[in-house]
Amino acid sequence: MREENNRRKEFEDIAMEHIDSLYSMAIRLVFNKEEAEDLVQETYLKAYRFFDTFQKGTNIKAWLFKILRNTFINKYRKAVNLPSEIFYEDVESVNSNLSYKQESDSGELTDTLESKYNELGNLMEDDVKRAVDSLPIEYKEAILLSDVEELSYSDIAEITNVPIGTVKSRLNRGRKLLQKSLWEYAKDRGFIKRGK
Amino acid sequence: MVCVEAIKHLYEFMDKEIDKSQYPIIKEHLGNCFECRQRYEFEKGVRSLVKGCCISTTAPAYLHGKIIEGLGSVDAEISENKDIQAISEQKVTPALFSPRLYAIAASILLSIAGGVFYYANYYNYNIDSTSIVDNAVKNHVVAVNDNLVFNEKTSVVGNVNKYLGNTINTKLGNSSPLLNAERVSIAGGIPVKFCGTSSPCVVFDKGGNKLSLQIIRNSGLPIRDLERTRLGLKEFYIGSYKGFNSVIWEEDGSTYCLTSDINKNEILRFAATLTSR
Repeated sequence: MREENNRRKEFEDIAMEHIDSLYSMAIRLVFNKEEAEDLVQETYLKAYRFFDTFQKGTNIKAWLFKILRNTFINKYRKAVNLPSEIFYEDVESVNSNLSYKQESDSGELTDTLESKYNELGNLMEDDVKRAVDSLPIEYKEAILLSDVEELSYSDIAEITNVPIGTVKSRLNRGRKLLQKSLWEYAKDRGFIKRGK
Repeated sequence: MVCVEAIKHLYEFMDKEIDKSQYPIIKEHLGNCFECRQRYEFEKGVRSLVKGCCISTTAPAYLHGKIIEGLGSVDAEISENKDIQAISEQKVTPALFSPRLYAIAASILLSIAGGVFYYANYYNYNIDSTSIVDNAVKNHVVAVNDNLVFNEKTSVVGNVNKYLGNTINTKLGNSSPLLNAERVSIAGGIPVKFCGTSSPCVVFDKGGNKLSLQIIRNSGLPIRDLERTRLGLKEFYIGSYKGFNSVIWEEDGSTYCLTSDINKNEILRFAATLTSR
């Protein structure tokens, strides 16, 4: 019994502190408080059952996120339409070098960056959430794991089961998409404000 | 450094993933170049917006307590399983497996999609009957957790043939099976797709429950110490570990092991449908 108590204590010590991170991710995946709670609970129970297989010294947060993701996909696999990876990779290799050049040639970037930045001040929390939620799931998870959880590319690659190169390209494309929709929300907000 | 270069590596720079030698170069460029700095600030602004809104989402206070309670029941389950290791011979009452139930089981089967996963397994050479089940459960969990996306497009390794040809033969131990398409057909008419990574599980999806079938080309496994039961003409051995059940049986010189977290009777019925040709 003592052995079990130790195991339990260790698990609680190192795993439970990530409950808010896991919940925050869960809610961005399922959009529903009750389901997010179930998902987080299931993740913890699964993690605890297989705590033996956790490699001590590695990042437990990443391990928990991997279990959360797997649980989510298993549960909602029918509802989630994961698109074909190949499609994205192809697009990436064709466009990656062009995008910056096109942007700067058009002159749009430098002209509007400052105004864009200022417009962000008009955003409300709900706008940001909506913009994040509207991203395709694999971009969303990459961005949340990187920008919010500050996990390394290799941890994200491990969690999402893809090569590091794919993580990078998802972050690139995802961040661009996100900025675009944030800016649109910001413009709307600014317009409404000015209109009053 | 030119702007194009700096911007190209901006994300990696901000994510602290850039090569150490590059770091000061980009930092210096951002210090000197107004436009790039502006862009950097913009990126930073967007990130702090996202982070701010996500961090403000916290788990409800009661969830913590609910989970701790759940951990307690997992503990109880584990120690219970330890107690049950005592081995008993048990006969299942025939009423439990009426023809109607067979029919139900069969109809459930129609909705089953399967996937084949090859992954390296870890049977030790000196195994006893308990560790068979332990290993089966571990393999089951690995197979289910590592191979979640079953369709061919999103499977990490769609080209299993490559693995069939190379990895298997060199990586697996003596008692490990070579699973091939012919073997898989024991799943009796269930459409089984080849997907996944590396060794010997067929994973069935039974209404959201995952069952994995492992085929061990070694009839000498010491399974006879496990709880024994009979269903129809067939004899099965049952073991459990960490809340998972394994049903083991022998057929044509191979040992088959079906593992899942569904209850014993259900997994047994499912096993029976796999054996009957």
